Amino acid sequence: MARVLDTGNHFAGDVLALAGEANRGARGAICGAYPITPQTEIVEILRDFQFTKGRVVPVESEHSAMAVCIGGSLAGARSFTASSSNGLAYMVENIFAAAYYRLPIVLIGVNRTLGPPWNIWTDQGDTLMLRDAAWLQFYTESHQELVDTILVAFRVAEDRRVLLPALVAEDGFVVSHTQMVVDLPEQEQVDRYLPPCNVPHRLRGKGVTVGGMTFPHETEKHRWEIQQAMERVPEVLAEALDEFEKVFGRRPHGALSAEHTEDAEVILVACNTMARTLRRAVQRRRAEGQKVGMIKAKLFRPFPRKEFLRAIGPAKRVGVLDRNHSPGSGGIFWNEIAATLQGRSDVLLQDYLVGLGGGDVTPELIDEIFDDLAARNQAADPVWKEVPA
Amino acid sequence: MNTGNAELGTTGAGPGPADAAPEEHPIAPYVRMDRMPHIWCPTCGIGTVVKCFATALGETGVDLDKVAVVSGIGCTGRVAGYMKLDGFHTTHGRAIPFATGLKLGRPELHVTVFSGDGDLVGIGGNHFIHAARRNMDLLVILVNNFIYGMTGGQNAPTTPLTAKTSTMPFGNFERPFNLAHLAASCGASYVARWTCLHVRQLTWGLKDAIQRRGFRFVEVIAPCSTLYARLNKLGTGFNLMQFYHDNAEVRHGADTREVDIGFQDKIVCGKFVDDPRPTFLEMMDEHYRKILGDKYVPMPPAGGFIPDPDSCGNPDPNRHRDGAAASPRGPTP
Repeated sequence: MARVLDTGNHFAGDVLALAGEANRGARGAICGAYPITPQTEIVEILRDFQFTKGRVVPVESEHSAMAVCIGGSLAGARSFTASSSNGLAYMVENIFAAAYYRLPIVLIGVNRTLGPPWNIWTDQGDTLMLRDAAWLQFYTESHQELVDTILVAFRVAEDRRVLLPALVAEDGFVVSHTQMVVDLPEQEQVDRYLPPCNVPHRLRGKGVTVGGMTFPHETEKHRWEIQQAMERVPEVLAEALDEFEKVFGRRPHGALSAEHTEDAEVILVACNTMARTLRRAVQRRRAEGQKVGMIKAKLFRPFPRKEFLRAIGPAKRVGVLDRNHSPGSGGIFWNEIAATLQGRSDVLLQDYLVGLGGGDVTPELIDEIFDDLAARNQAADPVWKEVPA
Repeated sequence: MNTGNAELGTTGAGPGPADAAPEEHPIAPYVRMDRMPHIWCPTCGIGTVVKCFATALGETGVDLDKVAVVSGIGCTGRVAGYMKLDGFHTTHGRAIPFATGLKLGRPELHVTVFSGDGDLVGIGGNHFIHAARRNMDLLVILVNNFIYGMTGGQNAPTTPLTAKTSTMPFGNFERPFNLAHLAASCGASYVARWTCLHVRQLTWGLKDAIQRRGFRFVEVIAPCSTLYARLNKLGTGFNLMQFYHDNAEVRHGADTREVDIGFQDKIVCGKFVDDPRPTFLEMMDEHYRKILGDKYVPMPPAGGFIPDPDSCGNPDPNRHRDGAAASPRGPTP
């Protein structure tokens, strides 16, 4: 394993290439790719990579990029692509199709604000738009976690018990365009970690039509099967992490990471790079003797309800940092957590909308939120932080 | 204007009192000077095309309140935001359908689509061919720099064979579109091509196109020195302009089948097609009049009556029928 300094996007491209190359003993790799800021380097790295068995096709749109991945996956290849923001929005029809075809495609979502008005900075509204698309969703906080999670995502998605596509999110610019040192896996390790991609319903000359027309009860069964597959994700993920530790000698975060929650009175929840800033704030307050903790949200779909309920421990105040917004409701993570805490009237749950459109979520802002949450007697509507007058 | 430099005496760049003696750029009335400086790289060709379009608008004397500019995404997509005209910066590839809606809703407008090759014929290629097929009444100015510029030099549907791009690091092996022929074969009623070097001809060509109707397609070859030239070791913007000087050939009425562009090959320019045909709106109106007779009510030129918020919301229901809304600025305040 090599220690390498590079950007999030370069690492994402490198690891997708490693995963694709690891399938050279089977049907190789297929990627349909279309550029969008801030995802572009991923596509360029993949185009530069010489696959033993595989093709990266620069197509004319994101819609076509996902269509190529679907075709490639149905042909039996390991398929993957990357996009952002409005690119994901344009891809949506085929994003749903990929899941409904039960294809284990991996998509890197480089979080960027949806436009118009046009804005290229990070905001999780783009990937959370895909909440109901039947994709697994992982949110990563650092370059290392991005690298590791991409490999875990392939392993879980391709597992026979799951067979659903997986999205791995990284913050645009904050991760995609900054450099960090990472333990970059070797091809040989990835070859050991990822078994050959075997999509059981791939086209193989048996005269099978995929897709087709169904009646309501058949569709209902199809959706039920997807739900069953989602419910099997936690156990498959746990196995994938065990195996990861054996091969790479380190264990990435699982569905979530509960930190200092065992005796915490106040907990904040955050995903992506916000979790790193939050961790510093928690550590500082802990050093001062304050009973605060955090939950770093990683797996969003399926949402790890049981793990979350366990993780909050004795805390009676939970705040959510949402760098996303569902107009007419509130933060999307907050919505999930509110549903998870149903029946727990002893817990005060408060939503904070922060860093929308890529605004900085600073340690000072998080301190302010900790103080606000500790002083609250009851929950209010989602609080908009830093809305200019 | 409030962004001038007081020390240099360049404040008040807008139309101001004569004694202030502001020196105003000739196209300042057409451009949002408060948005300057623009984002385009030094020696990029897009600014030249904007200048030519602004000059053409001025010379044709069209009412600027009746001109709208619609752009997609990309470097050229910024044009809609820089021009001091109604318009919008739409989603990627969709400038033509947005513009179609605008034209159908306000038939009196000169609707101009101003966007790049990746946007209009890459991701938005379907809309391009269908608008040409319908002879939709739009002027489409396509700035072709042979590459996706804003995202970093990826392969475009116009990238010449063998040219290097960031997604074709070993050279492009996909055949590019011959856009003039694509537009002509789909039914565009006006097709022309110029380069950024042909400033006078381009201005004349845009004037010519503004004064016509139907689907008018003007392709402008523009240098991208930051990406296309750098990836292909073609030198600077100056070298590209010199290349246009040495290799562009004006051939009005050329057979569009023969005007495809190879890598560092000759660039045939000129007005290739000028074939006025009934536009989409004319075809539609004529067809429905024939079928529906008096029951058919075409959209009035200014788009119909919008109730004034102060008028108790009870407008004369017949008002949209008698053309009363066709005052120069329409009935809205």
